[in-house]
Amino acid sequence: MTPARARSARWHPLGLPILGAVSAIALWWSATAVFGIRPFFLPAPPDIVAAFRAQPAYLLREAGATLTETTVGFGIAVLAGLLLSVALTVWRTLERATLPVLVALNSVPKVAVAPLLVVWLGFGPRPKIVLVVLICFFPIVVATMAGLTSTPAELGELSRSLSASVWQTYLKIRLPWALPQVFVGLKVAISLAVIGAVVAEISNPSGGLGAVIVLSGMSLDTPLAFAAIVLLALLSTALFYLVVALERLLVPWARDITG
Amino acid sequence: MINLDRVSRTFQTRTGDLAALRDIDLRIDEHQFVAVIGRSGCGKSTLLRLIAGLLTPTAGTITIDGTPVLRPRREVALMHQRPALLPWRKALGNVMLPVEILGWSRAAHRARAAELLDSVGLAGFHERHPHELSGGMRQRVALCRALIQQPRILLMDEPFSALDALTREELATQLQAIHMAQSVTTVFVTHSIQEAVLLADRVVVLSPRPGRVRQVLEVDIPRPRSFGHNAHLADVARCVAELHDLLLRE
Repeated sequence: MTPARARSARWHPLGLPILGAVSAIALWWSATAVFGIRPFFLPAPPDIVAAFRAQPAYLLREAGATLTETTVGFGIAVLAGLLLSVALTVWRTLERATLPVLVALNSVPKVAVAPLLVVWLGFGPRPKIVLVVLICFFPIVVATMAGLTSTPAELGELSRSLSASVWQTYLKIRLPWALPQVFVGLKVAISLAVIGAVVAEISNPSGGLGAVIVLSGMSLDTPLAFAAIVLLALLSTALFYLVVALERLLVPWARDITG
Repeated sequence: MINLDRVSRTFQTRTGDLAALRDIDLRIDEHQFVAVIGRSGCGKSTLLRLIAGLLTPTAGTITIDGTPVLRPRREVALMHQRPALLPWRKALGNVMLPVEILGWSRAAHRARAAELLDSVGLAGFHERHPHELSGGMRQRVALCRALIQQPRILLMDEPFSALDALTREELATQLQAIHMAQSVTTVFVTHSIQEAVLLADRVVVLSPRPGRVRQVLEVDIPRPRSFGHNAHLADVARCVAELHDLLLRE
């Protein structure tokens, strides 16, 4: 074992990340105190806690709205992305016909579509969910297709020589083989999903943490905006590690073969 | 049993047509072990895939028991140079894959899968994942996976060439024992003269591209043969030398 590894081995796995976070907060706090920065410009950590404690039910409800839009949109994108990837790899002519269209559609900035979605779908949660789907669909499709086309040639020949059906080949060989790469896409997509929800809420502030940020900005209630931002960061981090946990559960072998 | 009648195969590439095999005439009888030997790129693997029904000849016909090979058949099993096991399945689960794809009863074949693993010296490794096994062990699992479907014809594409020399010999000796016990008709592609002489009843020597049958050498040394000291050392040396001359001619 190298000396560096021996040193870090003495720490609990969470020790160093917690130390990093605590020092960052301490630095920020002392900066606001030393330079006398006013709370509406940059609030100190206690101001943010106070803003949260002033109306916890409201903030949690809006966080819940954002969480719902994010997870529903992400779920739809996962389902649609997986189905489309399988379809595109089964019928290669379909791939050649649709992939360029998909790439072109994906190059449209999603932020620019947000106001249009409100025009088309109204003020409820629907335009927000649709934006989440749009923003995380593409990385899922790209990663899944890369995974589905990476099956070793030997396994392809094996399933052909056994006259396996397309269904059997995908279920028993190709989909499990693609899972590690699918999760690469899911980890990118879940972070984008939160961003998509917030972008939609900002252009259509009828609910969610994005709306809280817009409204508190208008009333110069910066601590409240920061409280919403902190909640968003927590939400996004939690969702990301939920996907990581799911990956460890479903694809334990991926870490074994990469060593 | 297997009959190749003036079989040719050409591949279309960007630089024009590439003739991989030309006018191959070959008869392989039931229970025979035939080794196909030749330099890299002489179409050995193509020949195997044609018999497997994974490729179709551009000219000529291939028949198995009189019926033309137009697509893969269930009584033909294929084994590759790389084991290509499923990393999420344990050794036993990997052997069971063909059973599941063929829609056979798992319960009925589980015992046979375990027996096969035991017979190649993997008793005690049934519940190990591929990454916990050595290269030789993985290739043994792949051999069991090929044998579980009870093939009448076993096609092997340089199955031991990615292994170290000692493991190769060990596996070749094991394959000989399995062939003596079950006498499945086998076509074994290799570029190892040693392996060919140890295993084969007949050795088909292919010429370089386009591959043609240069000569078919009968190896009538009694079995079990071995790489070590034995009563037929002189015969083995004669066969090895002859194949050597045939391969390195020109």
